[in-house]
Amino acid sequence: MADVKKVSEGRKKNGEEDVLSQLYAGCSIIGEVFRMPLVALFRLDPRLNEIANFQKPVESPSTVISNLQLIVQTSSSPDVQFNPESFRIAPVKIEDKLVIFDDVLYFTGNELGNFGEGNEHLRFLAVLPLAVDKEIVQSQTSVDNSGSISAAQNEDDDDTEMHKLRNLSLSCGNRLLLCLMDERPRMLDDIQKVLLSKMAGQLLYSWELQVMHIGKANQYKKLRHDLRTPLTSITMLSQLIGSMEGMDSETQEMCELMLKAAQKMDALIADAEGPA
Amino acid sequence: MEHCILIYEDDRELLELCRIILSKPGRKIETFNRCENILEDVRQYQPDLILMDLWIPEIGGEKAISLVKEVPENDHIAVILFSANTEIAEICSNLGADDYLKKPFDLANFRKTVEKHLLN
Repeated sequence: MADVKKVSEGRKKNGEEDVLSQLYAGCSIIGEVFRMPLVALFRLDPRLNEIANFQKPVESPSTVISNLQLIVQTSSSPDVQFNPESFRIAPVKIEDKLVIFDDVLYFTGNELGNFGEGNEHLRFLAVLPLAVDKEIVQSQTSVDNSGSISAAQNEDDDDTEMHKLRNLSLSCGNRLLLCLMDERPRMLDDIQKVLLSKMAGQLLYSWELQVMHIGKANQYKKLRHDLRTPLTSITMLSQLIGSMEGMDSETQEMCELMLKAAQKMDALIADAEGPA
Repeated sequence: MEHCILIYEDDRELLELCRIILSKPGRKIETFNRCENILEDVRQYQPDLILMDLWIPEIGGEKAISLVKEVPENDHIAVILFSANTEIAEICSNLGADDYLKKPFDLANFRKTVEKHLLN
């Protein structure tokens, strides 16, 4: 997450108020939301509406969220398969474990009604975490006649983006971030600057937290997976020794105990994974 | 007729144990803890059966098996995957592998699965 790191460093160096200018030159973050609380955020602080300087009032910002959720299908199951072929493709980039839709209005199109009209200076940016343990395949590998492995290059950039998103798993166990960006530069008063800086800080913190969360969850998943390999050796060894010819009953009993302990450990690992 | 089995597993203890369990007269067993040279291994040993761990360094078991399957001359080689991955059944089906063993598997199941595919 190069941008976040850069901004974090900038924040330390220049102070919070310079965050925005470094994050998106000429843009302002005018809202940060976590799933449904967008409505609450706008309602809670009317100054946000003032900062946003909408040409048309945002009468129902929840429409943005519900449409987005509908489109990426993150509203119900813990991990969902996102098949972009069923939907229109929005400009998208993938950084670390986050999928970033640069312009949600493009993504949602007319489904948002006339919200976009007259508000062209506004840009909704959505950040979705990938599901734990999911990777994006960047290129296909193939084998040539000599048997060596080579990466197959996709010449069409749009197709490559499509390929990246194919069978992508998004996780709604993590929170979806939706940012409203105003690309029209203007002068801000001190209160607005402080408010925006605070929100920008929160946004960056949330991004970093999500990347960290996915990283940790992947580590635990790998650990559970790795434990099962030596467990296989213990299971088979206890059975192998216990079934050897001429083995006395005491050794056989000990082998059975070892096997039961291994089975118990496997059950504990399965419990830590949660329901299948 | 001598059968040849190639076993790919990055855990050296399990790799050695599999070799011990499957060893018997009239059977040749080769073990590897990496899989990036699988095509060369297959050409050299002409195996009847490949046992492949999915999480193995470098290109990984899935890629290794797909490389083997891309070569028509390898159609007769049976492939058994082993992994703790909960999606192993789906991976096995997608790869066109013949069978799978979910870790931790037991001795009887291991022997039975290998014998079944060698007989076929």
